[in-house]
Amino acid sequence: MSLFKTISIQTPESVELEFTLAGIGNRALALLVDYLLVFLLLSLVAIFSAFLSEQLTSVFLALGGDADGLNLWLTAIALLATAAIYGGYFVGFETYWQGQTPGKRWTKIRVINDNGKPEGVFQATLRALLRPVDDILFLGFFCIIFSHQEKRLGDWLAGTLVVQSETVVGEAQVKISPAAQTLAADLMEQAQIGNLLPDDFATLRAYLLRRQVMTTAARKQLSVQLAQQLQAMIELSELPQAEMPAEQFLEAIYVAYQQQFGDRRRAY
Amino acid sequence: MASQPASPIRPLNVGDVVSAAISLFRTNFGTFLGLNLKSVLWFMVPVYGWARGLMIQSQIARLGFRELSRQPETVNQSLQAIEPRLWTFLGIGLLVWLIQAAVGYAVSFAVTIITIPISILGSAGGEAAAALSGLLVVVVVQLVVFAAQLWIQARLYLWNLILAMEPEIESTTAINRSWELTKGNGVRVLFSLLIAYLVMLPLYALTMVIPVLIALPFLGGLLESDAPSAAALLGLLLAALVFIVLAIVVSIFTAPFFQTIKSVLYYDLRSRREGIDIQFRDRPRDQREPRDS
Repeated sequence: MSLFKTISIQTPESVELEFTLAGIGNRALALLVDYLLVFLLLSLVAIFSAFLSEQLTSVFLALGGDADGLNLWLTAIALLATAAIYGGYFVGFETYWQGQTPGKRWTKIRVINDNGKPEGVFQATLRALLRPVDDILFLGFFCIIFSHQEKRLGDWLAGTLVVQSETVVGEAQVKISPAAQTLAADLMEQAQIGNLLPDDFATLRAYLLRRQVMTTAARKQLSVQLAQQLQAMIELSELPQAEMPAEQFLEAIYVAYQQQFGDRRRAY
Repeated sequence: MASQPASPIRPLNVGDVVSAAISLFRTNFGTFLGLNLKSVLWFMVPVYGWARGLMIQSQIARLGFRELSRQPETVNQSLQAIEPRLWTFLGIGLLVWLIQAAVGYAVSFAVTIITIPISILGSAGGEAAAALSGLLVVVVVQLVVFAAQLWIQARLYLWNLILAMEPEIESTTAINRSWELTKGNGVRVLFSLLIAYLVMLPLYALTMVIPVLIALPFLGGLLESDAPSAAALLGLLLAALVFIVLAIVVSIFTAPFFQTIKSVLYYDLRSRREGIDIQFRDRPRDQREPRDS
């Protein structure tokens, strides 16, 4: 069972791209954030324009004009401004941020063209125009839940997909203690580091990156378990030092593997 | 990152938790809905039924978690695993409820005392100021109590799944363990629940909209005449009845979803806090480097 829907797109250059679809949860959260921002923006504009129109009216009356006609105009302008903000927010951000709005950026999702290209102005506009229709009676919600490609009406019409944006995983560096650095050199001589597959290295790396947020007990237990399995894998009959912290051993293997294979055997 | 079918699930963000829970519910729709119906029926029986109903709810969460961790089990297997703890679910459930209530009262008491100066200041400044400060105090107290209760609920949210999944732990430890697992992740749990409610909003909205639509034609008649006609009353009664039926139907459909949210959160927190997904993969021997023998 796969929890997240994926989609493969063949580009005109016959390159197969695989995307993970955004999912209803991310899209709901993004929409919530965006609507909050739009609401804030509209309230600001409303307060400002109420203030401005009062001033304008009194100036106009002082000049001997007709207040009714002016009010009509002001109302029309306010309505236009509201529509412009509501639509312009989504069109503007999606166009200039390549398919992202503040909400989408925060939830790390992005709108793309059906063929994998970035979303254009035309598509952003179509999506924004259909947004009210999708919101009425939660049509868009049901479309996303039940359609294979998680498309709401605006997505169907504009020919767009909402996918998870793959952020570059240049995340936190693995911290290596100095003791492990020296140990790594020994391990490269004594053990079969080459027995490790890229997958094993990825697991090791995942542990070293994520250990900080683990509970103390779990961290200790897992490090010992991984160290024992690794010791068997690299055919190391005897530990270089009798009493060695498991984490130090893991760090040393990490360094040794990196030094031996560098970029040639990346897991990702 | 190409997702291979066997690759374990990475730590999830809030939106992913909800999407994963929905797809977990969808793949097991019949099973979970059936179990949930059973539990709803049991809840109608006092005491024994409540314990049984709670247990079946936890069973749904357990089945979901086992599937996530790629050790699926059948409904009967999971039942056998958790049935010995039948009464524990009711006992700990009551305990959790008591804790939440106690925290609510304690917080509201504390906040009221802290805000007493505001009311004193307000009453010194005349009637309008007194009314305003009184309102302010009530709003502040309510907000703080609400936040505290949400927080406690998030931190203790996993208790029943922990009881169902970890037979070796003491029953009261389940509460501590939920607290420990959600440490530093309270906001994440809260936001997941918020998004879950948001996603279920269309269904909840249906339960409100349809009865209102039914009642609407009768409302005019009710407002115009002093003595409401029998037809109008009947119409309102019908609307109320429809509301109750819809609410029950919707809750039958959404309750399993909140259990699968629990499965996903429990899996996610255990992978974050205990690294349960960090395992070397079993591999066929022939993929390894040729060795000189």
